[in-house]
Amino acid sequence: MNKTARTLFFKRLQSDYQNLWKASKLVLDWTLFIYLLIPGIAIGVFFYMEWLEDIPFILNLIGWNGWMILLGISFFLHNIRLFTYLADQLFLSRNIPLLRRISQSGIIYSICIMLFTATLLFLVIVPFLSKIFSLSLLSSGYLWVYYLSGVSLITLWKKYAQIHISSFILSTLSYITVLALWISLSQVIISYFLLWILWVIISFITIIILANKLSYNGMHFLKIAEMDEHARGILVNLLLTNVKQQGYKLPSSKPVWLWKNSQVMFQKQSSAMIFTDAYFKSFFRNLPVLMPLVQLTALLIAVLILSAPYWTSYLFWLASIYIIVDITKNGWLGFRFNSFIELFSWKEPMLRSSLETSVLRLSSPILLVIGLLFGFLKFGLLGMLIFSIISVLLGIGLIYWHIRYVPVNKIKSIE
Amino acid sequence: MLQVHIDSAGYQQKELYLKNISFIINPGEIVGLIGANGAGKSTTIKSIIGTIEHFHGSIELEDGKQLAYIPEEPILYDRLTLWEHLRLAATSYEMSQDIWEPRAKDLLKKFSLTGKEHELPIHFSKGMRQKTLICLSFMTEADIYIIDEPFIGLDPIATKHLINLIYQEKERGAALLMSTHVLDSAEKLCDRFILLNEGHTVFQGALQELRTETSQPDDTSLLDCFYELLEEDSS
Repeated sequence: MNKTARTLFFKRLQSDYQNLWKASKLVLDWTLFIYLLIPGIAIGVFFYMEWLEDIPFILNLIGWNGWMILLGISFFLHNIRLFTYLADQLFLSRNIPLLRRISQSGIIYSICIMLFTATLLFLVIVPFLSKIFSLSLLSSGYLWVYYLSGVSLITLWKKYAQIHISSFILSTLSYITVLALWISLSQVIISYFLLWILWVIISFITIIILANKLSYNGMHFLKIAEMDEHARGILVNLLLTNVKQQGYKLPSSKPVWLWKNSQVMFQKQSSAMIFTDAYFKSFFRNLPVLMPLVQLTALLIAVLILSAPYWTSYLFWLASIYIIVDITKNGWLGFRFNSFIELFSWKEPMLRSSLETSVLRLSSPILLVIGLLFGFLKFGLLGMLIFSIISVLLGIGLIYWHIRYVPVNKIKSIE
Repeated sequence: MLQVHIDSAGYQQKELYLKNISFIINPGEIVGLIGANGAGKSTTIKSIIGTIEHFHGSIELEDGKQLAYIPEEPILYDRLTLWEHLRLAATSYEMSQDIWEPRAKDLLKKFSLTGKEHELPIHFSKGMRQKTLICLSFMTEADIYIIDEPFIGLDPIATKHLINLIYQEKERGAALLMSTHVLDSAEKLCDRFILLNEGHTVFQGALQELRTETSQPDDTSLLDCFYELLEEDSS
């Protein structure tokens, strides 16, 4: 039984990574990605070292609690996956011990990944904390363990609450309580060894109990499997591809929004515009696909604000334009190679026209906002006018230079 | 109208399952593609549609003729309403609004989908999704229909409407190739049969020819002839 569960778990893990690899190969232009990634890392390291030498005012101002709040927010980046598939109900729902063992492997794997990524993040932040609050190496070690305990407690509790607590208010209150407790006790606990030991022991026991409660016990199967399916799709959605659109979907009571009577969004009703209309509706109605674009835009804006005082901000601004245009293109390709769309034959000029229109209409408002903000940060009101126009024009140039060569009828969809 | 020559085809280059399958489909003809599970029916259809991974041979569709396909698994886009699906399908066939809209409304009424036009198919049952695909396909009034297991998941009334629709299209001059396990319906509907077994053709022709081939009396059903022929082929 143990061996079967382990084999199944590893097969699922392998297929997840294979799927992600296929999705990224489908949508990423590797040459340009490398051109962006390598300078991006170099610039990132340069900024990091510069800020470490001369810590920005705001990072001093927020104080200990401000830093702890920042660390606390990072708790919500992690997720526990139980590796339960919706299809398991066909074969495994009667085999609860096997599902339980798979979910136990999933919890152990998720905790390992969570501790590793949390440690990496902590290593990036701890030099600032050491410098600002004069932390010794020993205190930094205490803080690291304290941070990992907080990450584990919140992440496991979040999963438990998602499965067992249906009230949104109750579960949110519980997160805030645990987080507030962790933040307020932080300074005292890392200062006193005995208190620290006590906290570690209590946390460890709580983590073991929570992990044990999370292992599948024959209850809430559909809820668990749906959450796992969603978690599997997060990274792929970030690439804006609709991998595995077909398949079993849980019934949802959500009504149609955005043109609920199916009218066409655009006045011009050519074939290309009707195709574009269908893409826009499917895009805006699909929050798991829409949200990564919103989050990415917010992230790019944050990077532009932080880097505005430096010359490198021009590089970030140019990269933002490329990223937005490229990611809206990927969204269209994800729609184009959906199984339903592939049932019909489409003429290449129509598809190309729809692709160009879709990318132009989706990316232009975002580029305008980025240009307005960047221009204002650099040169005030006049900058707003100039950079907003240049941003949109560069976007249009990129569409006609880059999009023109994208194959719209030849790429195979991934199954 | 459609000439199919499959030298070999399959999902893996090393193991091409289909071998030497050739047939022609003429206008106004209903051809049944029958065979046991795993005989190669869906692979043959995928070869014609052009979605099979490895294919050697030729598929010739007469110039200017339109082809419509109804897959076995009802694939729909979860975020588009039924009406938006219809509009998009009409766009692919370059149909004007005043042509596709009345046809679509008529078909939706026949298949009891009126009132569901502005709903997302995520709420639809499997049968409703299947009906949606039938409406999408028949709305286009294509010259040749390729239908994979058309009766699976349909209620009796929808099955009757589909049979009537198939006859209407045949009278119009359209050709139909349908793969099915429902042999009693196939026996009534089809003019000709292509019987597949383990990736190759074991018989092509009308039911009477099949009876002669298997030395069966004139009232023998398609199912019995089918069984007889498979026994012979296996031995």
